[in-house]
Amino acid sequence: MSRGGRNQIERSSRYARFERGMESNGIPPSPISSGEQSVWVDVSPLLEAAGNELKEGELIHGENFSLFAAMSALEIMDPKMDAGMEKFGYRSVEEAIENGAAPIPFSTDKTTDIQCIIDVMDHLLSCEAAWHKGYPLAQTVFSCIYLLRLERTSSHALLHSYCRMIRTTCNSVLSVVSDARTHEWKKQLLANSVPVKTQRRRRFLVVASCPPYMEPLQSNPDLEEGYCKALLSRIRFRKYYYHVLMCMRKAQGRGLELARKHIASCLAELASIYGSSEFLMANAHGIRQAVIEDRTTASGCQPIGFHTGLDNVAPTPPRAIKIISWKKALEYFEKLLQDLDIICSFRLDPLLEDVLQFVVQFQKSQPDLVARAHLQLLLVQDGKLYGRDPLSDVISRAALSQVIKDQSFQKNEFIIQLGQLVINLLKILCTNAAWQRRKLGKILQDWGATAAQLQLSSKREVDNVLNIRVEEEESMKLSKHLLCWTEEQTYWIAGRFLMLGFELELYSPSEYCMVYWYLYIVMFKLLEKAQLRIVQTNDSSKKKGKKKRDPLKDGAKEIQYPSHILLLQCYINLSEGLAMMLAALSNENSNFEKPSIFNTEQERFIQHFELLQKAHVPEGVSYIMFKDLMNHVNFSTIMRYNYFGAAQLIARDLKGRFSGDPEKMSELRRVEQVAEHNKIALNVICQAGIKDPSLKVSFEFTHHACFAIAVVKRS
Amino acid sequence: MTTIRRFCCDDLLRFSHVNLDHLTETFNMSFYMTYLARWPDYFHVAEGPGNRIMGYIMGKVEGQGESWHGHVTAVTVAPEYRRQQLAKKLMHLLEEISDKIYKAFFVDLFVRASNMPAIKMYEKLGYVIYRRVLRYYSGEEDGLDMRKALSRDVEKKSIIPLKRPVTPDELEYD
Repeated sequence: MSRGGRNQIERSSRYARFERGMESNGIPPSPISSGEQSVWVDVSPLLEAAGNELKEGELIHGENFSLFAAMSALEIMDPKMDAGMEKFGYRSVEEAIENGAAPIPFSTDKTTDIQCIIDVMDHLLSCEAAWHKGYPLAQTVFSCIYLLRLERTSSHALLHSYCRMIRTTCNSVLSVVSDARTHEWKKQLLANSVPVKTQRRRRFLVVASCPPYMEPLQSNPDLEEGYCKALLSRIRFRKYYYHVLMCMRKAQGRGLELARKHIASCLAELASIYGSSEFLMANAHGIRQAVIEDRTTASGCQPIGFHTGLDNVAPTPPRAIKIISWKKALEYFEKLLQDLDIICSFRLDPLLEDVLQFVVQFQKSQPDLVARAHLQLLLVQDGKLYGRDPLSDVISRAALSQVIKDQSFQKNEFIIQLGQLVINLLKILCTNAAWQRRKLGKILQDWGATAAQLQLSSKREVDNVLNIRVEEEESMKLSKHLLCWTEEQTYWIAGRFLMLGFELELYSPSEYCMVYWYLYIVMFKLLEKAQLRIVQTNDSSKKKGKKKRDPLKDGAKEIQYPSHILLLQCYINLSEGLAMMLAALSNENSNFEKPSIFNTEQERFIQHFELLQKAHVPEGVSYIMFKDLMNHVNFSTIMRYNYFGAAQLIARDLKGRFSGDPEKMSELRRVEQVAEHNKIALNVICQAGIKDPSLKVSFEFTHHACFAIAVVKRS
Repeated sequence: MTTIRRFCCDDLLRFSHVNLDHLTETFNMSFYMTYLARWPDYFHVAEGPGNRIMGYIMGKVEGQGESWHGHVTAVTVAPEYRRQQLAKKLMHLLEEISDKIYKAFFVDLFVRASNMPAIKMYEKLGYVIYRRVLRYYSGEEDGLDMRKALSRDVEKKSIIPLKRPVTPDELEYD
């Protein structure tokens, strides 16, 4: 055995169990800490003697200690198996407590006691934010000894109540994320046997029993007001945060309005907490944290009672983590509350397309996991929309513009299938962008398969048209409507899939042309299907109308398409314009973005659109088709069609319709800016002459996340 | 210049950049140590300029009778050192040892059914798909059991593909 191995054994055996018989060797036992059935004795001198006897290359071999056993026992950075591991401080919670790591009270001096508890509250906030961001619960919130041994804190009312509240809110967040089953961040969020659950329905006690007269909080009257404000704001924040979580969990969104009020209160308290930092820093008492910008407490002092690595029951060694700074924790909670407020302000629209638009809009602010889990649970509960609307109603409202309560409709196999697809889609849309894009690509095939089945079903019925009965005729119409709507949703998913690629920066500039071209085709098909569905729905409602209609008048009356259809038309114009401009640049300017030397353009086309092609979304699109269309594009063609001008015109018309909606207005502004910039860029390129070698054209996403603007410069 | 040598304990502390690849499994310390203790001649590392680990291979030999075979537990090359036939060299080394020293009948390995580049590479090295193991990887993805017959298996009986897929509990060896 090597010298290193010998040292290892010496160190690891320092705490080895010692048979009583060994005492007879005359080595005096020195108790370190005891368990129930055994006494720990230090056997280091014996092992040191044995270790000195070993020569290089020799191995200890015993009945139960073979080479294989020796190798199996080797572990690095596992606190139980790696005896040589540097332990930062204590081996167990009990040892830490025995050594005064978590005193109660913090100090006999009341001022210091209050300062310390505020530090604990601040550090716990930072830990909680770190946990939400993805670090393990055991290494963040439950690195607090007071939380691990809650019963000890019962003599300190403030600390005890605060710790109980932390446990309750952590449990609530855990259950939300676990119920949402987002697959994100499972290991860190789901505690490995950390004691999170508390008794339910315990009220949060601000002060255990408040006598009629108020005792001063601490001993220095000049500091009383400051400390009272600091403490109150923290306690109130916890209280309101708890209420927000409880209200948002109420079924069918019943608690959302009240939750908004609590959110407003929470935000106000957060502002007070932030405001208290100057006072707390000025009156700081204890050991300062090393880097003041990264401080995890308002005072900048080290909090008492926190140690990582205690009671670590995780099978893998703890990874190094960095607790988020106090300021960033406040910013995190502020954003979280704002995101929760957006969710609570949602009108619980029964229309699926409004739900989808809301979720897409919500995701633009890049909400974190906790907010997204809350949204998902609000949208999908007990297999219904908001826990209230059966999916059959949702689909019939979306596809047929009316709710059909007929039992046979609700039990229709396609309705059930589509219901599952819609639930799955809503859940996917609530995940983070990268996961979302991956899953959207995968579900395209499911939607495509259902559309194919619907097509087959409606074709079968058409073939039997001669013998068709009334019920069969109705069934045929239903299949047609459902088919149209399913195809529309499939293209919507495909469009979202492609646009997320821009947000995730998955496309290189040399691929923009093919991506915009594909996006244009997908959106065009989406528009087609949406318009067809509207026409079909209008036709159905006309036939059902009891009044005698004048067919001439009806024919002359134009269908007014909803605003989102017109916005889609804008996107189509922008995509087409960009695809054409990029193709023309590529065709006419030899210096423009050349494909990489590693993959051919066709290989990259296949890589990017493989999932769409597999799902035949749309049918018949191929790289060859792309090349045939793009190879002959030049700038005179683009100027003739004025794609960006058309987008500007539609955007201008939409302003009136969107005037009450600030988010839609800002989207329109972005679209207009992109159209305007690209129109000007086109003019500049045409006037300067594309073949001018000093002309440099690049594309940037300055105004819109998905639609680039051309930047023309002379080098 | 590349050196292919026996893997040693210290290399475990230097190979994390090779294992960062999403298809390369990282096991715990004792797993590697047991392989090092039991089958040290199957555990090789390719070291490049600056003593940087380029890739490694680990395997074992097991089985009874005509199932006595070499097994590739893991073979991986860091991305920056790929496309140089390094994996091929490491695989040949393992096959040589299985064939000449241990007199095994065949060498086998498991690969994810979706890992087309790896499957193509093994096919180029003479491996065939022997059987599909359903939900082999974490109960989700199928695995392919690929085999290459060695000189002792004259009739190449060991690589006749099975007609049906198997489940992980039907596997004779893990």
